[in-house]
Amino acid sequence: MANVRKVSELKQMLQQKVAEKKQRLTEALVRCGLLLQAESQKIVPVDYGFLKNSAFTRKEGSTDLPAIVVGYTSVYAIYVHENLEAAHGVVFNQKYAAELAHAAKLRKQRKGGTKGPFRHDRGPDQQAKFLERPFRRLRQTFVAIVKDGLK
Amino acid sequence: MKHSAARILGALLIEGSSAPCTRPEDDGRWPVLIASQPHDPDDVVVLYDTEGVGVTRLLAGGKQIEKLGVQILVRDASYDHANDKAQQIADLLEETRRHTLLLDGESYTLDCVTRTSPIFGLGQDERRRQTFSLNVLVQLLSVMA
Repeated sequence: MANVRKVSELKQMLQQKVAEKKQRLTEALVRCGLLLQAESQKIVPVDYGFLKNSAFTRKEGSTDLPAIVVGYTSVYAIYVHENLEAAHGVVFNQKYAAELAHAAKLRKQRKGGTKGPFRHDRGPDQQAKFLERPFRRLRQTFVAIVKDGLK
Repeated sequence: MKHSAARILGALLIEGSSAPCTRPEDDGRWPVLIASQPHDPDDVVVLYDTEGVGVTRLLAGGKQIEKLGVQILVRDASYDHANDKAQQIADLLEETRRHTLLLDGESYTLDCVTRTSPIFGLGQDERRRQTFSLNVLVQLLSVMA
């Protein structure tokens, strides 16, 4: 009987360890997701900031199979992400230099914003594939985070 | 490697009699273009090079092995036709294993093509044409030689 009790204790202990590991895995994945979101925020194209502000990192899946989803909720996010022919960053600023200068002049004269797609200068690193690119670049970092989290 | 991954994959899509696409100069349906989406015709397949993934580094010689990223855009006036063509291309790429093709006298062996995204619709353009996108990673054996 004593042995049986010990086996059940061992089983319980193992179950507890497995649950702990699963919890740590989920936490590590959340850290990966937040890192990806943070890196993506550095290069996502911004005009008024609606797309940038729509970023999210969400926990999905079950305890046994945790999943973290990182994305943008704005409806046009996928179009901006996949359109590799659109001008972003420095290229945008050069392409629409005249319109941007005109918009800046109007703002200075306090005549309000202008209509059209030429409202604000773009940051130098802004680009399409603003989620996929950091995800691929950070692959090894994600592995390290998960490995570290499971220690 | 003389050609880009998009160019090599483009050659695969127009290879053989049952190819899903055609050469632009043939004036057929579904011409394959690289890195530039023309206004006409409506039905077009455009391939872009995207960021790849580093796989490993060979100890002998220190050569970096990577999978090369390619984005495939499929556009047509008909939603169903564009979706079907994207699916047809995805199926062809999925079946591709150790396939050797010639491009401008250069021989390339496609070890495998891995899809990194589902086929998803990007919506309509200003002429109400539908565009679908799929992303893949290409592993070339010639890179490893």
